[in-house]
Amino acid sequence: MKAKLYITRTVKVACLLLAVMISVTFLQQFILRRMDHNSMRLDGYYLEGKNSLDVVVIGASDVYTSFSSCRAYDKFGFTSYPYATEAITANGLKTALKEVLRTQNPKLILIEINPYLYGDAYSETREANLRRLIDNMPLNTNKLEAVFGYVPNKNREEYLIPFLKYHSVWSDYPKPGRRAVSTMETTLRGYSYLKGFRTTTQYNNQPFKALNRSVLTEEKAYPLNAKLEASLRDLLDYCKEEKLDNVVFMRVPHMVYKDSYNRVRRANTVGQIVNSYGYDFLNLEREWNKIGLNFHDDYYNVEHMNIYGAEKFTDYLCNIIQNDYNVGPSELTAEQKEVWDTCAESFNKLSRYCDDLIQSGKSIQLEEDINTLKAIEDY
Amino acid sequence: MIFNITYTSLNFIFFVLATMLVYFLFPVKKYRWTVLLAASMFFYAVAGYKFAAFILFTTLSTYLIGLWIDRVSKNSKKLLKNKKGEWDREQKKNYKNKIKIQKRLIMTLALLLNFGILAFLKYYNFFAGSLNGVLGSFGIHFSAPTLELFLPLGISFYTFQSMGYIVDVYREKTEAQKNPLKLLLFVSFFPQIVQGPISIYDQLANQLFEGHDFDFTRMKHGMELILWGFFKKLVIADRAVIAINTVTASYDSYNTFGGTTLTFTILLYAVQLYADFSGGIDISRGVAQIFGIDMIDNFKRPYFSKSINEYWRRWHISLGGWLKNYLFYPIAMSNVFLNASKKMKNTRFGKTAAGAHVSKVLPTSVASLIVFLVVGVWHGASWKYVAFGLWNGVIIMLSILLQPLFDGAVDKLKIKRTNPLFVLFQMVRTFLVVLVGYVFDVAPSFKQGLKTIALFFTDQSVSRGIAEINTLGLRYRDYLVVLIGTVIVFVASVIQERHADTDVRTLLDKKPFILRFLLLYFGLMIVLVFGIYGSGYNAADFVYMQF
Repeated sequence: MKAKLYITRTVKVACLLLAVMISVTFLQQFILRRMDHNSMRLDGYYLEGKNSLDVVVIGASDVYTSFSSCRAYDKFGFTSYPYATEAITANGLKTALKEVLRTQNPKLILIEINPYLYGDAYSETREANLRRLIDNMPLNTNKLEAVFGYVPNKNREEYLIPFLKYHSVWSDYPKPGRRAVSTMETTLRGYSYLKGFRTTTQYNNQPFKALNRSVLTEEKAYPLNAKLEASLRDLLDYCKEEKLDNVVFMRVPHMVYKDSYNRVRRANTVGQIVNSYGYDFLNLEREWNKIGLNFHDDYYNVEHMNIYGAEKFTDYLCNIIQNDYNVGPSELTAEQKEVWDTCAESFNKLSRYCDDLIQSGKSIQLEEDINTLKAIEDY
Repeated sequence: MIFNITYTSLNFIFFVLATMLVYFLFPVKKYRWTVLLAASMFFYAVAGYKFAAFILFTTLSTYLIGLWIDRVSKNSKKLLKNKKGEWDREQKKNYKNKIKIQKRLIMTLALLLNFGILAFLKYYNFFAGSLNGVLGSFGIHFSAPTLELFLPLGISFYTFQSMGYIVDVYREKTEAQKNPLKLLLFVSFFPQIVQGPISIYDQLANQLFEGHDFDFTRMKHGMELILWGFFKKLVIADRAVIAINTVTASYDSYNTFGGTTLTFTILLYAVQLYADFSGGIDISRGVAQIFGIDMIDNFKRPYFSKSINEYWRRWHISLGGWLKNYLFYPIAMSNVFLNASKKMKNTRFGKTAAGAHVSKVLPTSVASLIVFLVVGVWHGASWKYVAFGLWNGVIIMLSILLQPLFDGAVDKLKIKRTNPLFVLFQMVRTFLVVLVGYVFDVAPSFKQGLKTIALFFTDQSVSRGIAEINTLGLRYRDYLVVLIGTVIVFVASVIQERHADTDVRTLLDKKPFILRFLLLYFGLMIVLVFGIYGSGYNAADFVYMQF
């Protein structure tokens, strides 16, 4: 009798706790969360089938604005995804690599080196930079390692349970509604259409003088910030320990100007360090003219390419991936092929839509959300 | 603070769960109180380790002086027993008086030591500043230095509680505790150390030292009370306080607001203060209840009071009880007051009906005024709190003195005292009197308090008020949450008031499981979603700052 009472009570309490946990998990994933292109990109990544990607590109905003997985598939036939978040930290690159290794077995992993090139390590501890990556990772050992490894001591529990921080987002509604619906739709669909690609429909009108011609012959190598160099070496040590032979470091081309020129020289140092560990470094910043980039027409600001630049760069990078690293077209099931074909088609529509907007002088930020998907339907 | 262990933190929840686990699994029931002691020490060490010496000193001095008084009492009784038949009545009386004075001196030593520490830490700078001001106005250039003083965690509560124990030992209402560790637990019990309630030794101690077994219903009721406390504190109080803090941020900013905004702020403060304080007490009582300990309820729907006297019997009940037992009665029943009353009775005025009433209630009314002066000073070291205390004291004093007049007026107007409209009138009248007292709590200074009251009548502008209220750091949705939360608390209070002799949680137990389940589920979800906790999210923090 007593045992029955205990069991009944335990079941009742468990049901209540379970109901609350499920509700909180749902709210944390779809409603009360900081939803932006970063969250949608990583959500999309985690929806990709296990070991289904041939190439993963890790990095910051210059990755997801210059490389399109959909175009890569459309033109070269291999599957890929940018595991990238805005202003990702140097430490974040290692976390991202671990996440990629946990979820995929790619033939090639490209790591963009931008986070190592800053003059100081301020970016490393900025909450927003950390959260754009860690908040959007599922709870696992890599997340725990990141939180207890390099997140500042304060409010660490809020990284593990983002709901603690973002529960007040209800008061921002209906503003986040567009992204909430997009996130739910993507989850229900099971894949993202644009594979995390993001762009802005404008030409680069920055008044700075481009110094990219000097970059072609720049041999000086400036020392890296000590913390950032330590982080780079830590990542390289990890690659060595794990015997990773499919990792390649790269530098995406930017419009280089006076204030950003030192980054070019630091990139040379990164190249030296990477090579000293026996890894390849593709300094594509030196190949802008081979890619055919024009710093006004192919960029929307000094750091980021627009759709024209992204298409040129994706094609150029994919040629290297195919020719130098022997990544050929994927062998896909009919179902997978159908999905990827849909994605490729979506990107082509987006491309035409962007072209229209740029030519008509309408500057809009475009990412995978219901508004964009609706707008490109007719293209 | 080593890490955040406030009552509304996640750490506190884990801490309580861990303490529960160890307490109920502790094999020797007789010594389960040691688990509570260890938990209380851990809590105090984490929350205020720098000040642990103060609470230890109070406990040690209370322990030693309690034993001393107890020993004097017992020895004197032993001696009187031995001298039975040997001493005449006069000798016994003299001896008893001598012992009484001796015990009183020892008790005074404890009171001076402990209230001395409290007074010094809490009021030294207030008195130094006031003294400098007074001397300066007479042209005397003397400057008492102001010091950088800190207040140890819960010092007011544990000092009042331990001194109550000393007075009880002195009055032989309780025996002195022989075990210093048990006394330490009584003084530092973690659910009550931060904001009370101020417990009486006889009521709390035995419950603390008794080993309790796990009881599901008690745990459930405790958890429900904690949830209710979280709702009041996190959803209502901590949200409302954002607007109040904006108004009271500084002397200058306070001056910029008009009468409508200040009226709104005082009303909001009434809601916030009740939700915050009673919510915190509910959390404390809920936690204690899980361990089988029933602590005194500090609030009984105070805003339903029909008089200010009743209000103070329903608000911060444990402080009121403490002051009644250990301050009001000693003053009102003192020879000085009783003699004054007698003397007045014998005057010509005392022979009149009014005089007879005044002389009868004089000790009570003056004692009330003194007690409320202490209440004011207890709230803080500032003249505005003195004004707060005086306001309440004067109103109570007048209500006692003028009671026959009020009663006569009600009778003449043939108003039935049970008439709902009359009851409502009394409640509203009392609430307005309470609000005036709150003005001194909210305003940055006594002068500003007076100015605020003047603005209530001279500076009402709805459009300006709405415009200003929109700048207080809360969005209209937040105000809506506060409003809905207040309505929920109001409805719950009405239910409690109607079933004063039955606990709402016991009533709830009789309802179908699905209703209770939904109530708890939505209660938890409301606190989780609408509670103000965590570091908070500000979209502006996420603006890309790389360029």
